[in-house]
Amino acid sequence: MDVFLQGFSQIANVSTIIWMAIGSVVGIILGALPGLSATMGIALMMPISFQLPTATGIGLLLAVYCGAVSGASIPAILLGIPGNPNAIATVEDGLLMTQKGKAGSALGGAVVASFIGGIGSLLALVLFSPLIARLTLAFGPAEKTTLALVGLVIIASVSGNNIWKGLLMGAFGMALAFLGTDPFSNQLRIPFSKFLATTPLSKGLDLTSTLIGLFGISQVFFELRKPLLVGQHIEPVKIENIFPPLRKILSMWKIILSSLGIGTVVGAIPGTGASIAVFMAHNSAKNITMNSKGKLDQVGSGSLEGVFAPEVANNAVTGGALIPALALGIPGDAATAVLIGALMIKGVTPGFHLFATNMSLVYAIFITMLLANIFMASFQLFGVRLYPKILSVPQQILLPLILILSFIGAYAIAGQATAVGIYNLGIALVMGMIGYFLKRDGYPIAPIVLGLILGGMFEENFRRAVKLAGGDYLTFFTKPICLLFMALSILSIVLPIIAKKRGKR
Amino acid sequence: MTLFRTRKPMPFVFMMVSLLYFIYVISLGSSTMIGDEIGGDPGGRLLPLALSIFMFIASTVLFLTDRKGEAAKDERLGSSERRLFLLTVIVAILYVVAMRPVGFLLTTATLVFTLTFYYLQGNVERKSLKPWVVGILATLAFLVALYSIGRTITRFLLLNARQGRIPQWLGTTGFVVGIVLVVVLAIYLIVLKLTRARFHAEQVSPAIRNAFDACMLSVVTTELIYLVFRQMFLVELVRGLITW
Repeated sequence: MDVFLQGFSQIANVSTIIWMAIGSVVGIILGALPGLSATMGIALMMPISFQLPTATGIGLLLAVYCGAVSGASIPAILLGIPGNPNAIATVEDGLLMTQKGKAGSALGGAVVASFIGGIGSLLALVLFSPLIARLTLAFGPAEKTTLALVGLVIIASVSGNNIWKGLLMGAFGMALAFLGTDPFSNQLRIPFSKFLATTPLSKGLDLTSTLIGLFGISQVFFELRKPLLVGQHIEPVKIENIFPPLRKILSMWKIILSSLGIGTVVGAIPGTGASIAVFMAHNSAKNITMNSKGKLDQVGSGSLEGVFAPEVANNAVTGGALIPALALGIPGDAATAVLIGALMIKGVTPGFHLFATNMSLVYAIFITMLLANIFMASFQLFGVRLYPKILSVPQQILLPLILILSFIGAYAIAGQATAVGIYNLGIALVMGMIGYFLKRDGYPIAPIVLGLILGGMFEENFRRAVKLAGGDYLTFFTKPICLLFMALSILSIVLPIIAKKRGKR
Repeated sequence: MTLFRTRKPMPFVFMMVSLLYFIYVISLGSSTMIGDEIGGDPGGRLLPLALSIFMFIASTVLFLTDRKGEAAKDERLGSSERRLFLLTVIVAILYVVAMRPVGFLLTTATLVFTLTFYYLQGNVERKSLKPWVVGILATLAFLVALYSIGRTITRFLLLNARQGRIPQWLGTTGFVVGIVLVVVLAIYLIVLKLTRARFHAEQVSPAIRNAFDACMLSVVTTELIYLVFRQMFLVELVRGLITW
């Protein structure tokens, strides 16, 4: 109880509440704007979180995360354009409800569903993450090596449409992580070391600047490929009857539970993410409504059921994705990868050590997750008539703002060191250009982030494991947990290939 | 050459990168853990070497299998998009290079103004150079005026609170940032209110209107970023030419 109170005291202050409220609104706005993702929002807010106390900073990022996932439903319902892939499955029924004059019910229902999904998955996070973290007590360096490998391989194999592209990007991310100094001998491992040894680059690439470049700056360049949007024209729609009747919500309990389960489990599997969970939840809801003997409205006919299922699932992914992130240090998706990066910048390493030595911070994270969901629901419900106006902001104004916020974010992380800040600007710009060319040619960005984050963990544990085994590389094949992880790695490569071949037939 | 015409360039780029990475790692030499006299440490070169080989194999597979489709022709940028893209790249590079000598305020306002103005114009043309020059001068003048007012208030409050001439709480970061924000925003909104109707009148050319909108956006963005990061979080933003 004392530890819980310590955790509570870390966030029980006006500053945390204000920053989380700001994060929630920023998240909803970013989520609502087509093309801007939760990951980009978190990357842009990282420099601000860096300036705040750890728990407050993480609370800010979680508020952006939850807000952005939920906010994507606004354009999906009003325009039929999802703000980001999390709301793809909301489009069908959401747009039909708007056309039927039920935009208010659809928007309000989406918020209630998101709140249920967020809170439900938070319960799973609170219950399971300490247990999974405890399991890692059985992990030595060899097990941790294969754990990093499985996290990297899974996300590389399911990202994008070509497994080789995903794997290549994962390897590229790891190669970037190896720049800097050798962790065991302090030998410099950067090209042109004669010139770069005295620069901030001798410590490797700054993680925040790299993430901001890959997700923020590259997106600005990418949006310039097509004619800029002058702002979405929204036909005036009546927004009324926002709160769905309680009886209606209770009648959908099967849909809610199945979507919650799907979202949490899919979110907890590294590399899968909300875009898969929402379709699974949508399909499951379709089956439930078909077998409901007329008690529920059919999914696909412009029903609240069709909005509820994907919206419960996509916000359930947020808590689910945090389970492996906090317990194992393996992110569930790109957004949680950036969150782990933010924790690491603060000197907090996820895993059992975090649960054993800094449980008060873990409690603080749980409470901020709860607050993030409350803020998300409150702000989205109160601003339900206001947020549609965001869609009329033209890209001509939005893109310069994103670019400058990306730059200032990369610069500000250096604090008082202006020279480091200028180098960070350069890193962000170069990574932005690389990210643009990769996105243009269909290469996934998420595996690069995973490679960057897990590369260090992989190398340190690999060398330690081999050293402890007296130079015997077969040590990885003598431990059952390692074998299990390696089997998972192989399966995660083989299964998508088989599925793709079957799909072609 | 036919092979290169039908293949995408990115895998070839990665083939070259992995090859250079391989040569670099070989030239680096291996380093072992401090105190590894009895051996067993695979050394710092093994994993980078393995990675470079894997990257070469993966990029070669992609080079041979990932061909240019018919869609590649459609993916080419249009003339105006290409110009805007190039402008963004050049302005971004100049921003990074000029930040130190010119300073945060002037470079940031210039970047936001230039991009917003040309994005609103929809193209980069010679005829829009004049409104750009006038707009950038107006932007920088307005920004420096707002900054100077904010700076004067900040100095007055901090100095007098430190010397005990006014209550200490008037010199706290929160109060100073709050009061500067209120004053600066009030002046900005008054200027906006007084000038907006004139610049948005029907007889005003779209280029002038766009320059006005870009000016107002860049001033408020730069000033807010300055207040949040410099005054609230105490990040050392480069002063450059503005030394006061």
